[in-house]
Order: sequence, then C-alpha cells, then structure tokens
Amino acid sequence: MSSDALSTPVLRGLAASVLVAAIPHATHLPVWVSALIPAALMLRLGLRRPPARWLLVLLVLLCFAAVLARFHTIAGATAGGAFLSAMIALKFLETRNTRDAGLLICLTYFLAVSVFLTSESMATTAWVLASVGVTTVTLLILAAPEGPSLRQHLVHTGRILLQAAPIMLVLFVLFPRLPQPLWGMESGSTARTGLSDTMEPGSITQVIQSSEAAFRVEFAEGEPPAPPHYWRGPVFWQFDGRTWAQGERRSRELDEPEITGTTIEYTLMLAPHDRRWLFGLDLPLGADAEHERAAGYHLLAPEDVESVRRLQMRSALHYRLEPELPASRRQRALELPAQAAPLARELAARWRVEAEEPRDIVDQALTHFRERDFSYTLSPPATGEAPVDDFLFRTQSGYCEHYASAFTVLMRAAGIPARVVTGYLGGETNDMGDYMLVRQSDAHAWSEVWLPERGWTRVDPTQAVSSERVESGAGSIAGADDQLALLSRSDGWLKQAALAWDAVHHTWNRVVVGYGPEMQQRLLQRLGLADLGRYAMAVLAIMSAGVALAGVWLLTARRPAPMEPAQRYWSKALARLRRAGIEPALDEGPRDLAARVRRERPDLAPAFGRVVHSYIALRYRPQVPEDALARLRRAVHAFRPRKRAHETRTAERAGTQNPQPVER
Amino acid sequence: MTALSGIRAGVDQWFQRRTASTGPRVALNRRRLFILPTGLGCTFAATLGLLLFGSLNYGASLGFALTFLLTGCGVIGMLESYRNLEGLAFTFAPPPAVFAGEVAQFPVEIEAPARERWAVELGREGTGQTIRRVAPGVPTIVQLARETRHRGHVPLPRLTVASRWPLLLFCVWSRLEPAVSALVYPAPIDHGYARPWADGAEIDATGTGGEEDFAGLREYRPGDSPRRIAWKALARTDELRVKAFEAATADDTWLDWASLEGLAHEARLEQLCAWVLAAERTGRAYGLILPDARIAPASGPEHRRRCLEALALAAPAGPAAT
Repeated sequence: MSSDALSTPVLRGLAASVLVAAIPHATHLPVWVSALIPAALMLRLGLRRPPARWLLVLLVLLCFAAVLARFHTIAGATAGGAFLSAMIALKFLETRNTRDAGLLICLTYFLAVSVFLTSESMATTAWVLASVGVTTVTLLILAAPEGPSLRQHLVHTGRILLQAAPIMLVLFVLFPRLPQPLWGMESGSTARTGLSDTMEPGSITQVIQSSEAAFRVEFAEGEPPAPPHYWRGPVFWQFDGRTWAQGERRSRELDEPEITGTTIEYTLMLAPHDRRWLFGLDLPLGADAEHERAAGYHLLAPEDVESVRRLQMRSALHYRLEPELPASRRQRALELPAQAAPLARELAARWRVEAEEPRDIVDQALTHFRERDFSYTLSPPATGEAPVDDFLFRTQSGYCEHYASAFTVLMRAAGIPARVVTGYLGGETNDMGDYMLVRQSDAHAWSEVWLPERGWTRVDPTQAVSSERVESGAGSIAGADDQLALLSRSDGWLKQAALAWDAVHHTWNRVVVGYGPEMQQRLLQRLGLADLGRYAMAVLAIMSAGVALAGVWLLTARRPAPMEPAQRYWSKALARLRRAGIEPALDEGPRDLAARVRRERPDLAPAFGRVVHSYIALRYRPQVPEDALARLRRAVHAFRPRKRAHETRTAERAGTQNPQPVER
Repeated sequence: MTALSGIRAGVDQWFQRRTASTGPRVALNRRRLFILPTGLGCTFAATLGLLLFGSLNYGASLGFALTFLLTGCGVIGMLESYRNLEGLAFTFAPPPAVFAGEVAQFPVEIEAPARERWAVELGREGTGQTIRRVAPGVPTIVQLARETRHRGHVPLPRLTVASRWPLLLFCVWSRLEPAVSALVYPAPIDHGYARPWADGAEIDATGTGGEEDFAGLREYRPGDSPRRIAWKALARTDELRVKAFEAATADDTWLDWASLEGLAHEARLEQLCAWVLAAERTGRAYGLILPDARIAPASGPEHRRRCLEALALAAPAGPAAT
C-alpha cells in the first residue's frame, strides 16, 4: 500500500493542511519562505508528480544557506521555524506515496503547534485547532482513499477531537511543569512590544502606539489603591548625552527599603516582553517567583520573561529608599558627559546659586517647565546633536521621555543625584473581570532625585506640563493614535465591549496561558494530590527508559539471524532467479523449482540444475562430500541468468493461465 | 538455537495458541486481536515528544495543551483501530474446483456486527486486498485468489487481517487459519498419446447402444448414469436397479493409467485428465482405471466430477512408478 501513488484528494488535503498551518507563521517568517510555501504547493498540484531529485537536493541546500545567511544559526524558534517551514514546502514538493504523506502530516502538526512559541492568544489557539482539524481530515482521507465522504470525514474528525479533549485536559493539568527551561534559549529574536533596556527620544513613543496589554493586576483586597499608579520598571543611571542606559548593576550592598506606610498585595499577570524585569506598583518588595532586586529597586527575574507569568507580588506605597546613599552610587547618579548639554548646565548652575536647599532646585525646575512655553505631544519636532539642550531651549515640546531625560540632566548638573525610572503609569479598572489592565500605551518615564534624609523621591516632570497625562492616561493627549483613543479611552458601549472582551482575554491568560508550575502546585494541593508532582518526574523518567529499552529490543529483534553458508548461497541463487522473472513459491522445494525452471526457462535450466544439484547434495545427502560447499559456491557464482531470453513457453502457457491478478 | 530465535519461536507459539481456528467461521475477539504502532505511529510519537520538549522548554502552556490534544487523538485512533476489527466474523467456504495452474477463488464471507468497518486489509502479509467498507448486517463476500501449481487439496494459506483505519498510527491485526482447501485437478495436458477410442465412431449424445440390446437388469453400482436406472422397477420393488446393455459394454471406453507407459506418474494423470474432458465432450461412457481406484464407465457431469476428483486425489507416485 505504501508505494501507492497519492490520489488528488489526499494531495489537496495536504496542501490545505500545510497552508493553514503556515499562515500564522507568516508574520515572522522571511519573505522568501512565505512565498516558497504557496509556490511549492501550486507547483506540486500542477505537476501531479514530484520534480527530479537533484532539483530538490539543490533547493534544500539553497534553503539551508539562505536561513544560515539570514540568522547565522539553524537552531532556535525563529531560524528553526523558518528552516522547518521551507523544508515542509520542499517535502510537499517531493511527496509521492503514503509514507511521505504520513511524514508530511507529522511535520504539519509540528508546524501548527509550534506557533505557540510566539503567540498564545485565543485567536491563535482557534486557528491552530482549525489547522489540527484540517490535518486530521487529511490523515483520514489518506487512511482510506476510497472511504467515507468528506462530510463524514469532517464529522469523524470532530468526534475524535472531542473524545481526545478529556485526555488532553487530564494531561494538561497533571503533566509536571518545569520552573526552569531545559536548555538556554536565544532571546530578543522576536520583536515584542514593551519597554527596552535603553531610553532615548522616541523609544517610549513607539511603545505607546500599541494597545496590547502589558500586564493585568488583581488586588488582594479587590479595590486598587488611590491613583496615581506608578508601575516601576527598569531604572536608568547612565547617560551619554542622548541615550539612557541601565548602567548601575551592583546591587549587593542595597539596603532594604524602609516601609513607612501600608503594603499592598496583588497578583500580576505579566505578558511576555523578552526582558528580565518584572513590574510592580510604586515600590515592589517581592514576588512569589524567583527574583532579585536591581540597583534601581526594580525586580528582575532570573530569565527573560518569554511567556505569560503569574506573580504574587507585594508593594509598598509609602517608603524611604536609601536615606544614606553610598558614595559610589551617589557618584553614579551625578555623572554627566563633559560635552553634554552645556546650556542646561548653565541653567542648573544658576538655580544652584539661588537655591537654599536641593528641594528648591527641584521646585525651580518644575516651575520652569510649567511656566515656560513647554508643550506635551506625541509627535515632537526632531532634536539635533544635543537633544537635551535642543528640547529645553528650542523645541520645548516633547513626550515623557524628553521631560524625564531633561529633568534628570538638570538635576545632575545642579548637583542633585538623579536617575530615570521607566514603567507604566495608570491602568484601567475592568469591573467585569475585577482587575486592572495596564496597556503598553500606558508606558511612562519619570525621574527620581535623591534628597537628604528623604532618600530617593519620585518627581514626574511631565506632570508639571500636562497633569492630564498623569490623571487620565496617554490616550487623552493630542497626537495619540486615534483608533487607540477610541477603543480604550472613550466612554459608552464600545468601551464596555472592549472591556468585556479584555475580561475574557484576561481569564484566558490567567487560567490557560498562565498555567505554570506554581498554579499546578496550588491546584494539586487543592485536589489533595500535592505529592503527585514529586513522583511524576520519576514515573516519567522510568517510562522513557522503558520505551527506550523496548525500542532497542525491537530493533535487535528485527535483525534476521545470520544464515549458514549453504543457505546464504541458496538464497542468492533464488534472488537471481527472481530477477530473471521466476518467483519461487513458498511450498516449492528445490527439485520442483528446478522442474519449473526447465519448463518455463529452458535456457537457464543447466546452470540452475547445477545449483540445485549441489545444494541438495549439501543439505539432504546423508554423507556430505567435502567439496560440496565449494561446488555450490561455484555453481551459484556461475548462475547469472539474463532477464528474459525467449518468450517461447509463455505463449504456450497463456492458454491455461488465468489472467486475473494472482495472490502469491 | 540462539536466545533470540528461542524467543521468536516462543512468540510464534503464543500467536498459534491464540489464533488457532476452531471451524470455518472465525470471529475476531479480544484474544485474537493484536495491536502495534505503525512506522507512522512512531513518527507521530516522536513528533509529540519534540513538541512536548519544546513546550517544556519554552513554558508554552498551549503547546502542552495541543500536544496533549494530539496525544488524545492518537489514543482515540488506537481504540478506533481496535473497534474497526473487533467482532468482525469471517466464514470460509471451499471454492469451486480448478485445474492445476489455474487460480482458485476462495469465497470469504465477512460480517460486521453493529458498526460499519472501513479499509480492512485481508490477505497474506505484504500483499492482499483492501476491503473498502464492510456494512453492518449485510455479509460482504470477498474472493481470495490463490494460484495453484499441483493437483490435490490446496489449502488457503494463513491469512492476515489488518486495519490501520482511521489514523494509520496503529495496526490492529489477527491471523486467520482457515480450514478450507481447494480441490485441484491435474492440468489437462495432452502428451500426445492416441485416444483409447476411435474418433470416427462418434455416437449420438444418448451415449449408449440401442434399446434392442437390452440385456436385463443388474444391481446399481456407484457411478452408473441415472439415465440407466430402471425407474419402473424401482417403483415396483424399491430396489435400485440399472438397465444393462450388451452393446454398451462393448463400446465402453476405459481410460487406463497402465496404458500410458513411458510417461511419468504425474504426466499420466495429466493425460488421463485431458482424456476425461475429451470423452465427456463426445458424450460416450468412459471408465477410469488408476493404480488405486477404478470407476465404472458412465457419463455426465457427476461422473466427470468423480473421475477428475479421483485423478486429483490419486496417490502420489511410489518410488517404482517414477
């Protein structure tokens, strides 16, 4: 059966399966791979048979080289995905029989499911389910080409998937999850929206274009604390005149924050952003997952956050940070490149002379922003070589990163330790899901200045210019994306619908996508199966070992036992006879076979007769002559039949032969 | 015998025990069915393994979900494969007799209780035919062809019934040991010996001499033509008697094994077989003499069958005959 040529319905089904499985990959595949897939599908369907093998080998090599040239690797989600997709297209091109088709179906399943490495949204899930369905229908058609109708196949597929659902559910809940990946992964290959590890004019403006969720928060007490909600993210120390970078990494002698008010507990569902930091309200104190505290008092996960994380977190709303600032960090917080912002330095020097204490300088700067003609816009005019001076004295319009950057530079120039904090500001409360949603469009940057006795103190210079931004979010700012504003900031049913949809989304992320080791442990505890996880790994290991052993046994058992020499020569002769067109029957002894050869191929009879004679002498005589084996070897060696010498007997036999296909 | 071949022999015996046939009808039950993953099934399992490791590594929750969904599909596919053969009943019947060298067609009746079955493969390992669909309640009849080479009883060899429906991931199979065989007559080959009757003296289809040569009644012997039975006498006396004819005895043709000197045993049987067919065509009465059997002259399809059967089952040549 496996050598059967494939029927058209099977080929069409395969084409549809591959296409459906590949579509969600299209966004992150190189263009040539995206083009290769439909081209290969159409070519194969048009040709009706696979192209020459050398062409395929050439194409495989080309694809390999192209992927290598583009990504410099063949492993990993993106490069591997691109290579796999290209290979599937080429495999389809060379598919000729049931075996090829089966392999292609397995590859298609793999391609379909591997989408989840990049996206786990509900839409993706629905699409992958459809893809699995189409592929399964193709498998059913392949199993019985002349079987039921397509409609019956569709119903059957639906039934199989439904029946498989309970098995999936049990395995999904109980299969042990790992808190750590098995091996290291490349990171940052797939661009995700989110804050980056540097800040320069324009970087946050880009983030704000997206209405994607950054994270969702459920407060333990139900009600969120009073606004404003500043969600602390990466903190920047190092400035080169244009770009802010994290700089300070030493966090060993970091003092515990001094908590002066209430702390608040909440659950944070963090969307993957491919960076290590975790976001927390005001001053995050800790999380239930493994983490460390950075020098800027924001939290870092041990690995990049590449899938939805569910975190139990605790924050302080009133606190005092580093009332005693170590000299090294103070130094770090005052550094300014020598040539950067000369005008700003002049201004700051003037303020410093006028002010009595640091606090006055801060007020002076905020007043400066408020009273001069500063404006707040998402599309500020371009700044030149010295962005801070340009902003402060020429364009005077910008977005939060401009203000935070300029303000921090002014403070440092005035001798006040200062740093830039990025994160999110605000978030909307979703009554339906009882949680707070913080979107990428809520991204924000502000400053922290170090004041004697008070320690690090948050100052948001943007607030001085546009208190609206702080109070109602980026959507209210002129220049924000219109659709975004409409969707997330307007009142009325549209907003209600958007919030309802987001509630569904949140539940999905919380229950399905966020189901990880912690949630599994909690669930198992609630089910009274807390110890299960501990044994599951051992059971899994034993099972894998068993499967491996069985595989080894099967492989060795398949190997035929070595033949003794006489048998080996005899089978060689039989193989040659078979090639000459005479098929020895199972129930045919050597003598009968020789008689048939005499009848059907008299030209072979003498040579084969010698083989039979010496074989019988060797196997059946009571006294085996000493040179019998050598004689058999010689006879077999001399027996070299040609394929078909004469058609003499065949015509004669035709009269008694039944022309029907014959079972052998 | 190595340990491995010992194991294999043991496995074979175990199969033998479980699949031993008890009659012409075999119903596939739990004991008789075996299941193993196919090559595609192993590939599928490897795919699932890769997906599982990918999901573990990337912590992709939905990767787990879909991997397990596919695992579930595999399990359901396994159960459905089993249910595709479970309960299927095969009834074997002897095929019509053929001459050696022809193909014997063994009829097999397949019944499916309850469910319809798809793509059931039936035949010897490797080759065989796929039965597209077995409808529930309606017996499906399949002809299994077997090429014959020698006369005698040719049994239907051990069969494999298998199914990989619906997902090709598992192969459920069972061995059938049908206790049927085809009767194979010798090949009717004319080796060129003169017929033991004169071709010129063809007689009419009634096949015997005239009524005037009636020679009285004699006891019925097996092989006598029903046309010669004395029906009136039977009605009168309740004894089966046959009208004997003087001329008939004189004209009877004897097809004698011993007359074919110079031919090998099997060749003689082939020649006799050709003669039986020819004599039956002429309509004359003919008898058959074999080393181990003797059939009185008669004619008709039933007589022909008896003669051919005797030829088919004649004892093989002893050492002297060859």
